[in-house]
Amino acid sequence: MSNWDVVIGLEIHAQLQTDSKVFAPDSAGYSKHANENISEISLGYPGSLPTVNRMAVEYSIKIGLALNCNIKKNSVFARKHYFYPDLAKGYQISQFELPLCEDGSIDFMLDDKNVTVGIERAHMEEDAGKSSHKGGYSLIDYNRAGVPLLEIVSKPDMTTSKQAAEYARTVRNVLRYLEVCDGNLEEGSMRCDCNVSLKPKGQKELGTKVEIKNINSFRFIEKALDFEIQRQASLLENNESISQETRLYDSTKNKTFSMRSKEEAMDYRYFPDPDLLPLEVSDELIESIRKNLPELPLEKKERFKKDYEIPDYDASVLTSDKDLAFYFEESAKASKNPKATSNWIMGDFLKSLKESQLSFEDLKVSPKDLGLLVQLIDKGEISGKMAKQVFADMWKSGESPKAIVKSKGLSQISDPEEVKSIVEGVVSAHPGQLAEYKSGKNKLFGFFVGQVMKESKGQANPELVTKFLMEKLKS
Amino acid sequence: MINEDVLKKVCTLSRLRLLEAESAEMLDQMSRIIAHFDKLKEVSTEGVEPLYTAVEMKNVWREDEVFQLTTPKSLMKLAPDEQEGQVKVPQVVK
Amino acid sequence: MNINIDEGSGTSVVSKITEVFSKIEEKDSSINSFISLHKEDALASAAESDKRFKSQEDVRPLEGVSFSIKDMFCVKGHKTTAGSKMLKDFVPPYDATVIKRLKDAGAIILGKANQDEFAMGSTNEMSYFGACKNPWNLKHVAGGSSGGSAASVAARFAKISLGTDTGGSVRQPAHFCGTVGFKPTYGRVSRYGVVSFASSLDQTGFFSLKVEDAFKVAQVVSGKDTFDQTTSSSEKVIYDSNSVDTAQDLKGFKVGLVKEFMDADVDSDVAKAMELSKNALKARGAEIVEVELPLVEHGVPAYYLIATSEAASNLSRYDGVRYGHRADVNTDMSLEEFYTLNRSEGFGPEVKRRILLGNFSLSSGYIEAFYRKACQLRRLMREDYFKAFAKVDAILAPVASTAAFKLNAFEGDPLKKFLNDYFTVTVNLSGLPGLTVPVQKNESGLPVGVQLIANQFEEAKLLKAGLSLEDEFKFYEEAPDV
Repeated sequence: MSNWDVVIGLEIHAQLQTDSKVFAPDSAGYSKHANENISEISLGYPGSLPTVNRMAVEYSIKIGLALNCNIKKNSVFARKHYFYPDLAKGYQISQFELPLCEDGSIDFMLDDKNVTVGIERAHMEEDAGKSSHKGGYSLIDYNRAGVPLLEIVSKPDMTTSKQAAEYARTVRNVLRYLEVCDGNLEEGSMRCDCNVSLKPKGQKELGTKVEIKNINSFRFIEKALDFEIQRQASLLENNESISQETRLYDSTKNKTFSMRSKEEAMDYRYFPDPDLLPLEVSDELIESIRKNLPELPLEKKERFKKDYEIPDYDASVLTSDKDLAFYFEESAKASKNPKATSNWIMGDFLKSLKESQLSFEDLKVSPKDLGLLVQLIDKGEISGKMAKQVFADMWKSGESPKAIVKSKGLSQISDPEEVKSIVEGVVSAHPGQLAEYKSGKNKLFGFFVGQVMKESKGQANPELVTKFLMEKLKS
Repeated sequence: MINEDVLKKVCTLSRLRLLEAESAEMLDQMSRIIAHFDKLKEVSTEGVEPLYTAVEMKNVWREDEVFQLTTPKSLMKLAPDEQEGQVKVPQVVK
Repeated sequence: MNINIDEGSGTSVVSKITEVFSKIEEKDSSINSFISLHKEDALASAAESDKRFKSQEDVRPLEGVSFSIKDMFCVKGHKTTAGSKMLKDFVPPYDATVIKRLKDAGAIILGKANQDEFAMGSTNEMSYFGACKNPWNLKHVAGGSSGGSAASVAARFAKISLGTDTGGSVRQPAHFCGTVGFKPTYGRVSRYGVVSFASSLDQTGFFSLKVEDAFKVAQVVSGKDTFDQTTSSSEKVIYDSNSVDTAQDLKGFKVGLVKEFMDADVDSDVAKAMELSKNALKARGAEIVEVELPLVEHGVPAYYLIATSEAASNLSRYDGVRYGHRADVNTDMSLEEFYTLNRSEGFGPEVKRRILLGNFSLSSGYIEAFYRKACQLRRLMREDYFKAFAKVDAILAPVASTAAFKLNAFEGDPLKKFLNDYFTVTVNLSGLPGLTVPVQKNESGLPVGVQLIANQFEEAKLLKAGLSLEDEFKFYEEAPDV
């Protein structure tokens, strides 16, 4: 691999969550039955004409701004022509020469290093229908035809499969923060095509590029690219040429394969759609969208580091998901100890979340209760060890930590006099060990702690136990 | 400007087939038409912004509201071949 | 506004419409101006009109007025063929916006008028349903593409007809058939539900016997449509009563004669109609001014490149998948074969030729020199018109260089046919309103008209000058012997 420079660029199609389609008033939502969300407009029946959905434009601008793009005040819808049964008009309405968003960039951290990936453009277009193959014939469902998409085209700035996957995760995170796309690769509401080429180390001129489609998870982005890079490298090393083509990724075989050799080179015959006027957006609209942009992942991360004094890594994890960030902030508010709260979320909380595969809205533990649990530890009412037990119960029952502590009789003995008397009782009950300790066998300190805990059924405040034991043993 | 190969390519792009006799006549007619059209190059248009719609108009956008036009069923009824509420075509991937 | 085009003669609308249908049934077989008749629906609407007339409640602006509709307009529940085999059985479950507005205004739709396939042609010979003949002489064409519309009005079947004018398809058949043919400014009338030929050029136009009627109907059906983003919201009226009141007084009104048009080679009957019209306008006080359109000779190539490019794109939806003609296909067939068969069988020769020209003009390697170049010229030509209209209120021009062609005059020479559109296409390229006013019959008994052109949204000026010409020639008093 060391002989080659790898060049990777991604095209991400984000389905925008509008109510109606981008050029027609029929529903852009999901339907159980085929061809229920269709109209003469979205399917381009004779005489019908497209009209632009304001929300689709606004969402697109929102994404463009979040990706630091220039928003073009005059962009143009163009027709892209090809024949395919799921394309109802014989052309797709897209943007070609003049896209809505251009020249942006996005940053993310990978292996403790900041990576910046340029955004070439982001343009609006309509989705196509879906064909299912029945053996001998195909059936077409047009429900998805005309659903708004924003195609986000990165610059070929990435050099490893890991970067590519992380870039895609970062974009998805932004889309979710903006609440314009649910970013679900498996369900196709976000689709990722990867362009990859290899060139001899140090060479300026780019090699032949191959496009990989049909990748439906972030992990597969990495795997598909790894396979493809390997494939291209071995071809090149055998002095074979790479053909410019589209390949599909098969995740079960972990292989890419050629989609089909195209006899005719595609000629899309783009030209401005004469049914639609140029898309004019005013400065006022752009500014009002900019003003109302939510806090984005990167900004939130910096704020978390500063306001909560948590490490960079914690802040990255906590802001990697909008719901998680919200959960953390609410918990920290209740606990008044952000660092400890962060530890809890990064530890037991995320572990349980992952194991249960629950979504945030299905959680039984409220962020406030998690905060209160942290507070109980801080007040010394329960030990950290007890807290783990309490958290496990909270996760299952959704009861408040106080209620659990009470019902299980878990609360800690924090009365100094009481702890002191237990300590004194334990020490005087073990004169032999006391003598050994005094003769220098410091390890026996642990033995005394264990005895005190045993005596107190584990409820003695560990800090007080240590404090009184030290005093007693020294005297 | 246009020859048999170009005409063939354009036929493929257009998904149109010409019979052999038609093809020769079409090539002859198109050659003459295109030669005439090619006279446009005599006019200098350097720096002229192409005009796509002749009348200046204001953008009006549609609000994002779902409403029903024709019923989906009445559209699907027009399909020459239909199965399970879907349009039937030859196999799309071989 | 009650427009009252049908000066009610006291008889009921139902009886008038019944009479019209028997006339059509008797006489249209030789002319072939209709593709389909909507007798049942028409009589039902006529009965509604009678009811409203009788009660004098809710009387609509176009109450009881009979219309023929070019087969490009979707009329819900009725075949809309666009003159093509591709759509010969297509029944849209929706109305075009103009059709909705006509129905709401109390109009009676008699049926769908013949036309060249997808409005591509200037003779109406390119219809899948056979040529429409000229009511003045059945050996001649009605013109096109809206030939059936013009013929149905000239033959006194329909009071008004709706056509479409992409490069002259309303003005030229009006000239051939001796009717008024009015194309408003691009964007005045919604294109929604009208089968597209070339979206940036298509505009609904109106045929009538009298100038005022076409403008009145245009006023009723025009205006912003939320379903068509290219409709204009101009507040300038089309039917301006002030124009009507002052039509006899053209003092201060400047009429342009285009040098390049005047130098063109036209038949003597056309030259004579121009001369008579010029004199008539002058006699009413108009000042005649010469203007220039130096690029007009490039109008036909620029027009055909843009029109065929847009058409090739618009017509790619006709693939036999969701509706329209599907060939005898089997499932072993490749997709490409499937598309190719459906389209090759469904489209006629002129449509194929234009799709091929359009895809050639848009294809990589040619788009710069052809489609894009044509769009650049389009801007320059529009500039020339704007300059001319800085000097004049309206332009007087021929519609075509001859009266109606004989049938089959252009067989095998499509270029020659294209070149005949010289006087009309630049009006569409510039989005201008145009009007054909019939002048007189030539020696062979065929009508000859002239064209008036105004600046964008200045239809009121066309109305004024058009009424002056009408007052002079009163061609509506003559009817063909059908």
